[in-house]
Amino acid sequence: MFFLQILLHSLVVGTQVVLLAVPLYLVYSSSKIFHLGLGATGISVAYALWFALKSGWSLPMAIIFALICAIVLGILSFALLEKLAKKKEHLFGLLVSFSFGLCLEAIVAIMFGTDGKFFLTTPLPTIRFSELYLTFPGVATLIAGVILSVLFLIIVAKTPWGRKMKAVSENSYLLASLSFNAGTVRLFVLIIASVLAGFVGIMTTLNSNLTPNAGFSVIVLAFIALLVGGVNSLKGTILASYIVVLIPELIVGLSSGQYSISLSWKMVIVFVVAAIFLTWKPNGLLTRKARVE
Amino acid sequence: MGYFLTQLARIAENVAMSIGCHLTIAVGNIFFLGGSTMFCFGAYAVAISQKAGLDPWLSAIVAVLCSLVFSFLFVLAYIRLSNDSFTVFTLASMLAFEALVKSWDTVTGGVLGIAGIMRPEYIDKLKELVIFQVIIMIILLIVEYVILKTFIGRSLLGMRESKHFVESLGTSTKLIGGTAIVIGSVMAAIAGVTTVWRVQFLDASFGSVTLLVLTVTIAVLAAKPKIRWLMLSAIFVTFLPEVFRFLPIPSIMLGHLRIFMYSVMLIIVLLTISKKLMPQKRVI
Amino acid sequence: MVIRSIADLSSRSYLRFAVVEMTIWRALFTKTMNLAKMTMLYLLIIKFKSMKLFSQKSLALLVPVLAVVLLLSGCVSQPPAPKALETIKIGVIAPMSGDAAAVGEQIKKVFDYLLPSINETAKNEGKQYQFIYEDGKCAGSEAVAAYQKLTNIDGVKFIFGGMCSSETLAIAPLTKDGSTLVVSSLSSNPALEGASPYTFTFSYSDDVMGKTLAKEMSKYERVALITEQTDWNIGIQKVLLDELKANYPKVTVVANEVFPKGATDIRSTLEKVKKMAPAALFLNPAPGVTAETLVKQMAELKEWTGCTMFGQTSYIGESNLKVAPEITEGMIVVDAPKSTNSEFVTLSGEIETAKGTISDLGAYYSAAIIDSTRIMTKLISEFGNDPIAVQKALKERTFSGFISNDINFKNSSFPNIGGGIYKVIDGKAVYQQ
Repeated sequence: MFFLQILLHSLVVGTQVVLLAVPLYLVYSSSKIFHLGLGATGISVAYALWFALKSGWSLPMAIIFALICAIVLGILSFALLEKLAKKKEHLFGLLVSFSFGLCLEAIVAIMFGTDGKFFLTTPLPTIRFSELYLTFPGVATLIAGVILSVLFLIIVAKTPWGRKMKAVSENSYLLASLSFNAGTVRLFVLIIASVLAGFVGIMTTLNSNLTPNAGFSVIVLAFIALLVGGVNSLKGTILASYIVVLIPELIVGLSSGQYSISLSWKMVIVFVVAAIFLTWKPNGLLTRKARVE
Repeated sequence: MGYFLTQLARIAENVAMSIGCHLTIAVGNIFFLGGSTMFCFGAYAVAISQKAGLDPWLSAIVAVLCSLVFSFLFVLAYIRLSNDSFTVFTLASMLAFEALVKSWDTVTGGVLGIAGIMRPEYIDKLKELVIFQVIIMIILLIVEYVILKTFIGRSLLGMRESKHFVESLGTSTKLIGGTAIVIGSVMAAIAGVTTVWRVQFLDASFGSVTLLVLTVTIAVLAAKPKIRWLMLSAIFVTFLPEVFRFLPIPSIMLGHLRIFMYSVMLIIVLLTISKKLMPQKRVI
Repeated sequence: MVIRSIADLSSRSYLRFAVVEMTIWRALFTKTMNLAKMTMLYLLIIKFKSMKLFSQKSLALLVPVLAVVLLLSGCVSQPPAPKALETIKIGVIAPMSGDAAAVGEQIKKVFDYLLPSINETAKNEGKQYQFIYEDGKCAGSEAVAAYQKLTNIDGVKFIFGGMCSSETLAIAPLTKDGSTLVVSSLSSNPALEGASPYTFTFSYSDDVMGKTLAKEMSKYERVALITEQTDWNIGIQKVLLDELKANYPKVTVVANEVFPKGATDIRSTLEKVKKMAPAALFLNPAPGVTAETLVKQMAELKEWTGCTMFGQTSYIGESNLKVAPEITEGMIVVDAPKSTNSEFVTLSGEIETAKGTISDLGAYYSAAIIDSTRIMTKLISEFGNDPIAVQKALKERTFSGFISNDINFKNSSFPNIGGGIYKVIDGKAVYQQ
């Protein structure tokens, strides 16, 4: 039972990482840029929702406001990254998105302060199955994670839209010759990524609390998951998200006695696990070796 | 006087740290973000050596040698991983190293840190130490100047232009890139050693995201592979947030404003001068 | 731009230009008279050099330009003080950004609230106080830069801070020459003891808290600890563990978990601790949101019956106790005595009403800031801007305040504060002894 409970908690955390790794994958697929600012985007959207609720708005209005904020941040990301995506300056894109994330964190800290915020001031309601339990936001995260993962797996692999998205980063000129606008595709992807990141930010906050720099560590985990899983494989990314989270969480959770490892060692374990996987499979877990030109 | 000496010392430290970044990111287009990690590593190596009873000068030598060895981990990652993976790997190394020093408290002091780090003989006063730091900075700048004029520098510039072309001339880009990473790491470690001598206290917050952003900003702002650009960039970036101290801005906002300013500067520089950093791609 | 075109301007244009330029400089450097004056003097020297010094033209311009400079210098001060009052600047180094920024903001709120009342009293002695805030970022290197700026540029002789132990430990060596007196309200690291004869702290030492906790927890055979990874919390954890090991060998520490600073999901850690079935559990988070998150997540876990909870200053305020009364009811809290003094409670309520919440700061540290500010300003008013004289008085006298009726630094850099035991009854921490 103890093992199952630790596993359940780890799955919730892993799903949070999946829900951030998926938009990362989408942005990378369309522009070959790692959007490090998505974590801060998600937290900013969560702050927008918190602000709306605190101001007395109704829940539907607050959600619409948060959605608008997510779309605006997506458009802003597009404005910053489009030029670099067109010029294929991917690593500069990474730096720009990283700086964008820091900007957002600083703005949020100035506007709302750095003390933590809660959506609910009481303990979260839980669902219990005999000795096991999960919080409602945790259950919602798990369900949303499964649905969205399957949905995006189908969209990316089976639909024309998914093919267009991958084609944009491969050869945008060829895509343009088929009368598809690469810029529009990238804009759309960034908006969806921002909305998804906002959803993750809100779910994470519901499950714990909200601080301006809460997004950074999650986005780094999502990045590591994307690299371990393979930047060209959504299936690999989803699998790697769970591996990168579950292994350290289980090591920390199941160790006890004089060999007990505290949660403070988690990032070290994540790093070591990532280093091992990246050394073993540098191109990703589920990526097959392609011809190198 | 102490304030100005401290600012001069910070410029020297920032320049020493940014040389590595400049060499790898600006010159060689190798996105090595482990400078902050190596800065911290050098600082901890010297502090732990001193705690173990070594003389400060000897501790510094030990720290530099340990940094040299440790930097080979990054070289291994550079050889094995793709560019993107390597970048994120080095970024994550900062978080992992911070977690390690915070948790391994028997050696590093954990979050309580290591207090009372002694300065070496002859430079135990702030003025002498700052002079020493400036001399080190000049030496490291000369080293970078010489590197840029030699085969390694030309190969790095060539790698920025076209890796395949450099390979076709029989030069191993992995070797050149690895050399640049090792040099950059050692320079960052030297900066860490002199900084910890100045502050005489060390804890896990020594290397941080802000430090990483600062050094990357200096390196990217320097743009061209020229020493004077690096110096000007370092002075500009170090002094700019100090101006805020004198402006009537609420102190609560000051720290966040500083981070905001660094990141905006970085975005502007990257978006406006990126075409000068990257060679013009021929469009057929 | 300005210097090159000087010779081309007529004297009238030059004067207009100079006035505009000075206005710009004034706007930029409103706070630092000395720097503005130095800069203006430099500019004037450069200008008159280019205009052939001592020529008729330069002399004709010199008088009005200097008059404007002097006039503007007289205006450059914030806030403008009546001539009879001596302005004494006191520096405050606190974490205004970074992870501890929430605490830094609340420290500033307390200081801002106290300043008018302190100045009201000081007016009678012909003095006026001005607080100058600098961001220490809870990091030693930043605290050193902040200290240098305060002492060299602003000319302060007294500093409140650093607030984090790392800040104070870094600046303590710089005070050894007696040029500045540093008083912290929050730093509790035992390494501060004797770090400098001119560095004091109004916080209790982690030693005191750890030993009091060990004594209380020694009544149970199986104990567990959950600690947040900050310098303050780890300091208490270390002393507690050392004390239990040395003096209470029958007590077994069944779990000793540490979670990263600001962690938001501690459920796995709580599961691990619960599995070990401790009879006593010490909750050791930093004050503020993590303390609240910890008890909330414990309440979700349920089934903590048979386990006595212990806490520290993070659980002295009602806000963290009321979120999960099923966990906090009956909790034994170790804090400094008299933190729930009614006068202090009223005052902290007034501070919260006027400036906003100070819950992250906690009751003890709010009291420590109030006491340190009152005591130090009283001594400065008595002895003037002389750190050595004030330090001597601080070491020789005994003071009374919210943290204790017997605050003295005769033999230590720490005040003579013992640990107080509180028990949470009906959502309030009630002082026991």
